[in-house]
Amino acid sequence: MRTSAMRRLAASVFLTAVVGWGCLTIYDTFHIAVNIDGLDATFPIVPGANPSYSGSVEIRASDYISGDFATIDDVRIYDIRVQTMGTYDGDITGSVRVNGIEFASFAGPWSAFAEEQSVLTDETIAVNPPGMTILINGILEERTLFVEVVGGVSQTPIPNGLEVRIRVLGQVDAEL
Amino acid sequence: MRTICVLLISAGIAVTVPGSVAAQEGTTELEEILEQFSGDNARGYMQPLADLFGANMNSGWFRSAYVPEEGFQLSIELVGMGARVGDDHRSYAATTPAGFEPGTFSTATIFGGPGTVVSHAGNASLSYAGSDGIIDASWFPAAAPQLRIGSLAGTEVIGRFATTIGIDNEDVPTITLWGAGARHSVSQYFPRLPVDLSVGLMYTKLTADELVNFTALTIGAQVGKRLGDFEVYGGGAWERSALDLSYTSTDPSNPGSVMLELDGANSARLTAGGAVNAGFLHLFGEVNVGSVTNFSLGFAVGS
Repeated sequence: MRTSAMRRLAASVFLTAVVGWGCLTIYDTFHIAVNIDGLDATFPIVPGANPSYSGSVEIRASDYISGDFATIDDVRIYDIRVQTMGTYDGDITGSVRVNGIEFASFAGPWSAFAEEQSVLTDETIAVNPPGMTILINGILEERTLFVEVVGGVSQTPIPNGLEVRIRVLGQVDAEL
Repeated sequence: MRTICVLLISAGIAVTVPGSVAAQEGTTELEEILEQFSGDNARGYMQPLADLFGANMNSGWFRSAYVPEEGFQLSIELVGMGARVGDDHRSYAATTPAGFEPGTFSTATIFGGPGTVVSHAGNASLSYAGSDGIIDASWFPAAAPQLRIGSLAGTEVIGRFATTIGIDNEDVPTITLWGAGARHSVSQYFPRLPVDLSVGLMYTKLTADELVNFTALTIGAQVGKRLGDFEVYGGGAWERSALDLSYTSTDPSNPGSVMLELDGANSARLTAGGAVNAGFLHLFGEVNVGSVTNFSLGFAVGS
């Protein structure tokens, strides 16, 4: 083969190979397991003689999922955490509900929850599967969630400054 | 699937190939993924990229073991590299949150397919998952333009450069690749040797905004034989590479600043290659064998 022809052939083969070689293929759609943020509420306990307490918050979709993500295809909850704040010597029980349906409950000494406790490691925290389904579907549909805690404490009078914090940790499968 | 191509800028000439903006979008999406990870899982997800990119960047630096003693030599080169994506690059053992059972599960790396969903062993209402992979490839490619200048006292220098600086698009991160190397003829001291011998040292650095900082270094020896218009060469080299990631994790179990250094798998390599020299045009190719096997194919214009 003549040298000039060999040169042209070599150049064309290489340019084709490198341009093709230098290309990657990215999936058209792929899901990121995005951390749910903002499913985090603190409920004050009213001081005084009434051992019962309750509280509710409204959590909008924009509070728990960033608008940067195109679509949400799945939702998973992997942890529920409970923490008490303030000094108290008695016990506490609580039912955590979404849109009126219980999805978690907890019970035990107030001081046991002074350091945040997880359902993964603390047997005094339990989940209720039907309520979890309501919670998951609510997040999946990006609806405003009404989260409330209803419960009681064992000793009165209740001092000032007591609060209960509930955190729900999860992921959404989001497409970019 | 979206095909993206590497954006090359060499000697002031921009070479833009279709889909290059999508390449930069891929980098931004990568940051979105990494932010969801704590350090351990980010390491597992990204380690194969560090291994394969490191092997690629330490490749293609020479096309001959011969370095002239004297005389002006100049060539402009374009080198493509490719490292094979094996099955072991597609999945890793990720950790679940503390207290979750099981404590680890196998899920997709950046080269993998769908992420795995794992349910808690004692409570099916609780589950956790890894992110999907984003790159669908059997071979992980790279490419770089090179400039080779020699020779003085049997020494030549090589440079690489590519950047996205100059692209006026806020969605396009700033990516800059540069490399520099030098090779010295050993056979000039042993004129009776039937082969050419040389040694070389080459360094590469790539940055992508504040997310990625990559470095690679290789030091090796080359041996070759010129056979008319053809040439065969080989070599052995020590090498290291490191991919540094810096981002802020939103993992609620461990939020905050994350700084990872991922060392590339290759610490040494053997090279075997050949070149065709047609006047001022040169075509060369090689295979590199180490912990990662990769191939290079290059084209040079000049001497």
